[in-house]
Amino acid sequence: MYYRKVIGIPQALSYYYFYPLWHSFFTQLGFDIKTSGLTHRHKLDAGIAIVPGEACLPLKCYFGHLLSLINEVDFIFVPRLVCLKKKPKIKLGCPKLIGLPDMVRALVPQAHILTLDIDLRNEPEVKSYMKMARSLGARTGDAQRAYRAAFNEFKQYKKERSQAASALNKAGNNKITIGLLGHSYLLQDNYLNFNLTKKLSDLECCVIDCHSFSTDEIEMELPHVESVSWYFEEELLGAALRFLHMDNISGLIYLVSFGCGAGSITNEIVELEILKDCTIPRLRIIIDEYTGEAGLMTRLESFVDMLRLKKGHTP
Amino acid sequence: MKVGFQHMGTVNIALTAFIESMGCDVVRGPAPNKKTLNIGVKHAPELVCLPFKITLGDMFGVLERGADTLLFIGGGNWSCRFGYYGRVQCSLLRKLGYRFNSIFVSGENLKPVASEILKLNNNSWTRAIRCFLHAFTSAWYKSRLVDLAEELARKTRPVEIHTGESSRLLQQFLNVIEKEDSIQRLRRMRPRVEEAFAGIKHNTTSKPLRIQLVGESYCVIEPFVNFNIIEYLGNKGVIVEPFLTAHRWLYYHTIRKDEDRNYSKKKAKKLARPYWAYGTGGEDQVSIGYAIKAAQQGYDGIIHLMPFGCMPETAALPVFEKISKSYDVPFLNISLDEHTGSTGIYTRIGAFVDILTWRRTKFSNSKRG
Repeated sequence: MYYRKVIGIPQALSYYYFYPLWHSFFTQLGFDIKTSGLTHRHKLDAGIAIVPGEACLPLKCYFGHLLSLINEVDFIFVPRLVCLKKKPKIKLGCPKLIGLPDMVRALVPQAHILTLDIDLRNEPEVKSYMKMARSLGARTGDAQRAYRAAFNEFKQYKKERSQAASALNKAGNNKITIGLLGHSYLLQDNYLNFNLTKKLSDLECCVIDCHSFSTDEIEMELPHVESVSWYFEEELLGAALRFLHMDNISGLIYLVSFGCGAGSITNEIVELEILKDCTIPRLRIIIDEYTGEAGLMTRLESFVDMLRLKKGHTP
Repeated sequence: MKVGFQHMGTVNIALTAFIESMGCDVVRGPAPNKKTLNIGVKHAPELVCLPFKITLGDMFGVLERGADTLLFIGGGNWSCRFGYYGRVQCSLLRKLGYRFNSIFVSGENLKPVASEILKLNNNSWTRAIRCFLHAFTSAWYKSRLVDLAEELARKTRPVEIHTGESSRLLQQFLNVIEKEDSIQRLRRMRPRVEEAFAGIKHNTTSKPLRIQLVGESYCVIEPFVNFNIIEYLGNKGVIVEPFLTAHRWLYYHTIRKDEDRNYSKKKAKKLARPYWAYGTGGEDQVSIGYAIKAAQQGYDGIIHLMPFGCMPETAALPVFEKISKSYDVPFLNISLDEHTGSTGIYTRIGAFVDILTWRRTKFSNSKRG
């Protein structure tokens, strides 16, 4: 019986940014994909048990997902995101994303990992993907075609996502609108963020995720601020500016995980430079593995009440 | 122009010499202490790393003493938070109402410094270059002499007969070097330093334990943060070799000159590459390289210092543990933040040294048997 090799992708960290690309790339090369599914307590606990305590929550979560895949797949795909953008300035991943495969090798030596270095300073992305595909036994031409197709599909996906999001954003304009700032792997993982979006819509708020903006919209804002050299944080700065220029935003929530190094600086840059003269109320929520749902709920409710008072509604 | 800057171990001696030779006044701020730490912690973002908080506290110290120009060290296109220290600290201080000129110093972009030097010399390039060369050589000789004195003190301290003698001598030399202006006399001082340390009565037969100190550069270099671990262990009869000294740090990050006579950073990076493929901006890759080197050369233990939540070092932590296991070298990780107390640290280090001593007797006995 012909057996298709299975590649496992942990559903955490960069999954939330690049999964569509990886999915179509590997599928076209003739592999099966298995993701680790949604986060739950057991996975997170397994990750917390092996990762150093000081590391950030998403990283612990990542290792939990990785451990759950070990016995079910042939390879686990662990990319190394070093340099993700070269022009106009070099944009890097955070140290944890740069060292991820090395950490996996040190912490989970039994895992068969499949890795690739995306370092645009050395070589274009397509070459990195082709190298990886060759190591899997694919032909160069096939790899190149697969990457091109996957890349186009990824672009299309991003476009459709932002279109869908902007249609949603327009829907409820007489409600209180809250902008959410934070990494995709926190905002889209409903276990880690305690289902924040749903909680806010239950409180009758309209929520705009910072990842619903299209790349063009973000790029347009970037020249207005001195940027940072982290790729994912640069997006956040652009999104913060975007929120600032939207007139229907009544509040901003900044979701950050405890121990997120880049977050601690970006947060401060957003406060000190971008939102300097702006009176939009904002709430900073720092989450870690000990965050309780009740405490979070109380803070959200009081924040929303405050926004209502400010807008002239009775709470 | 009254220039103030952050404190970082003996880096200050060279920096002060450099700026004073330029004809500027240097505001000598207080060395980091509980008070500057507290004020730094109060105004810094909560989740930022410890060096940020301490250097911010230093800035308050020099501003109080009348500095009108602040040098912000750190910058460049890095993946580590160190690159943003200057930018965020500057905005924080401005927001608090302080008025000052700022100069951002970073290894990658020396333009602001160059333009400042040019301005000081009435826009004359020839004078600027002459002035720079003079300042640079004077700083270089001072820094190298300090490095030598520190190295000799590190070596003699564990074997000296009267405890505290090397530290006293080191302090004396530091004071002399700091005050000395003539390059000629600085150059001639070298043999004097060597003789003085050789003259300390020491035990020639004892073989002290050797520990390699690795980790984040600020934590390794600044004695206030690491509770003067080098001197403390030295007085207990343990040789501690930091992978980085003030001199090496300063010249590696400005003119890319690697000043380690025994083991270069390049070699260390090469050793580390199989374990840690990319340097992420801090000293993680070099640290790992030095840890492997220490393991190969038969050091008794490795101590790893880092500020709480340091991005590169936290990520590299599992790799250190792997090295410790595969080479069978004891490894101690110490994470420092504003709540760390000296007693806790000394207890942990003491226990670690006990283990190393025990291991040594065990292995030497088993060899004999």
